[in-house]
Amino acid sequence: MHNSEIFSGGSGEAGANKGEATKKYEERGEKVLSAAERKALLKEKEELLARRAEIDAELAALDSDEQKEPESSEPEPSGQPEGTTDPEGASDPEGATDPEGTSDPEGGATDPEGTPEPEGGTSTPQGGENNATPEGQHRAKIEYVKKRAKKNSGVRDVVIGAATIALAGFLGVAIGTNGFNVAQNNNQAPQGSLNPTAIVQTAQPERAPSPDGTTSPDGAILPDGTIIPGSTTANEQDASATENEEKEKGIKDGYGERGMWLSQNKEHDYDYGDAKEVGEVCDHDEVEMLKYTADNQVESLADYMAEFPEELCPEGFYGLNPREIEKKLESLTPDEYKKVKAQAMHALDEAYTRATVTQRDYHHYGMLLGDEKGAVVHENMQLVDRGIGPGVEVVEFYWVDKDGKEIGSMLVNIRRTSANEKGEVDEHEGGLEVLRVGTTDQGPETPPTPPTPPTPPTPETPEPKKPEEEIEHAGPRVDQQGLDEEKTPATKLEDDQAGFEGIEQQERKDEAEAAEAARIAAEQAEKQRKAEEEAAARRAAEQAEAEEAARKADEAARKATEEASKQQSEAAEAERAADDEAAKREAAQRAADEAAQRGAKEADENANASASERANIDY
Amino acid sequence: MENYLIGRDTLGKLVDQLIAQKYPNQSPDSLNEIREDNIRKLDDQISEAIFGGLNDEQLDEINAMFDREENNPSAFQIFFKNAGIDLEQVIKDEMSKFSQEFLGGENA
Repeated sequence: MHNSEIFSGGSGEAGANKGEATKKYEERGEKVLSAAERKALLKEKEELLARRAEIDAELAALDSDEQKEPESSEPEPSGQPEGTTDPEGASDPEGATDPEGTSDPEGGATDPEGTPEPEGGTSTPQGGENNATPEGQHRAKIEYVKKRAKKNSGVRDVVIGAATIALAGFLGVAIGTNGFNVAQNNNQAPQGSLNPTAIVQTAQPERAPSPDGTTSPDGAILPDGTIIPGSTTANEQDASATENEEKEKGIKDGYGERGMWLSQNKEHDYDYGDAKEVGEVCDHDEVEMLKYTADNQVESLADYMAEFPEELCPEGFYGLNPREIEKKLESLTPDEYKKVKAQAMHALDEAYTRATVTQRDYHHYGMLLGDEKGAVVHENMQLVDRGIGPGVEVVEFYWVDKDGKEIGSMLVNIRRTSANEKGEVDEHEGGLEVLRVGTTDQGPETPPTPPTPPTPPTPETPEPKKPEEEIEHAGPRVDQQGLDEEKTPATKLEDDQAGFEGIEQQERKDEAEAAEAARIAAEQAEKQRKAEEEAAARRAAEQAEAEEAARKADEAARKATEEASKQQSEAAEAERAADDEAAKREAAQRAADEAAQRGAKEADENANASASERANIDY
Repeated sequence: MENYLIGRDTLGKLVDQLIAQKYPNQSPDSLNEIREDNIRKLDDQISEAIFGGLNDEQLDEINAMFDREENNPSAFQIFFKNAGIDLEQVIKDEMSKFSQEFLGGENA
């Protein structure tokens, strides 16, 4: 290069050209590149061209591979570790260093809007008889995308994230590993609504003592209350059919024996179980919590299956009550049981959830210690039917068909223990039960209750206020006639007066409780409404943020493209300017040479003339 | 060199559990080939389930994202959402199918 000679003002003509060229660029506001900058740009251009050639070669190799084995996963020379981001994209054979694919400043064949294909055009690998038909082309596109996806860190991050969550949930249920955290249930579904019913004032029933003749599940829990994952034990027991049969029954009849529904507070009178512990295992995903309990206890499974819509209920179980389902499940072979349980798990997976508040009375199954002072073991556990009033926060699980129409639902009371202001946890508050409206459905197997009246009984004692729908509660019942026949008239009068006073007190108490229940229900409904509004606002904000991020990413990419184009244009311009300068320098040099030659010639001629003259003079 | 969409580490957890259930008395070394083959198969199965359901327009759109080297996970999240693909559910379903096939229908 002759920069130093020219711009340091060699010959007069070359120096004048330099000024004009510089002025032209300065007038346009363009940067005049120095020699070093131009060199660097030219070098980058060469590197980009070389890289483009490599990419074209690799694409050609991919095309030929696809023609040979369109569905195989060929080893790719990317070397990208799993789950890591490739910031430089150096291992990306699709051209990481060329954001737009426009590595050719002269505007080569590469389409900036498309793929760096030698032929340009669509983003589909070419060639092969497979791509002749539309279906073949579609298939080729899918395969191409699958290959490219494996090399793109953005899509891999998204898929790996989803796979991690899916795997956590899948392993936590299918394998039954204790303590495996699963993801939140983010199911969104068409909104439905509970049919509103009258609020019924109902006193909480007294605890029923141990009933006789109820079916007690087999098995026992560990004395220290350790929770044993059912599936893990089931795996070990598959080795021997004879042993397994009995042990499987023990596992299936797992109500209380694994400590699943029993809280750690074994000293309390009755322990319905604590959803808190289940929640911790399942990361408080409510569908997973149901699946976890169903996986480990046949009574839980039966409880849920009794509420499945017909479309999702395993064959032969629809229309049965929980007791009947439990017995039928226990009559199955281990393989049959596993198949039914798998179908039930699928049904639970299909459920959506929403928080709601009870508007009426319900009853639910629960476990109770037969001898409240006895050991907390399976033989001492009794299944009982208990009532629950309105105003209680519960979770509704519901199912929809393919059109979004609701086809079934069930309410589940999930009670997690929580610490009070002093940080103390009342663990016996926990529970996880399916709620059912109205009377118990256990039929003849309903545990009989002893005659322990909550208030003094009288024959004219009016029944407490009840709604149009008759609600029965598990609890003590009173045989009024039997008691009355034993009393004298005087005693009866005294009893009547005491009874009336008691009734009035009870009525006032009932009215106060009804008002309180209504107030609680209204508060809960308001809380729910606010929570739904906040959730909707959060979702809208998140959506807006995601869209903004995408827009910014697009803007950044567009700016990068424009900058690259501009730089390439500048490089081309600089090159042209350099070429112009070189041509001008050459012309100047030639002119100078010619001038020098002419000068020399003239000098020679002059010298010759002088010599001739001198010769003539001398002569 | 091998290439995965999800990866051996993640899918290996599931395959290892399934192998332990199906072959409880065999040594891990003897099952290494089965492990690798099934990890590959599951990865391909999931990849097919995710991308096989896209139409031509969606395939072109995602190819364009690859062309411009889109590496922002949010962009792909939006893409799948617009395409109506619930990745978590798709992957969970494929894992379930895979498990059932592998265990011969015995899976819970």
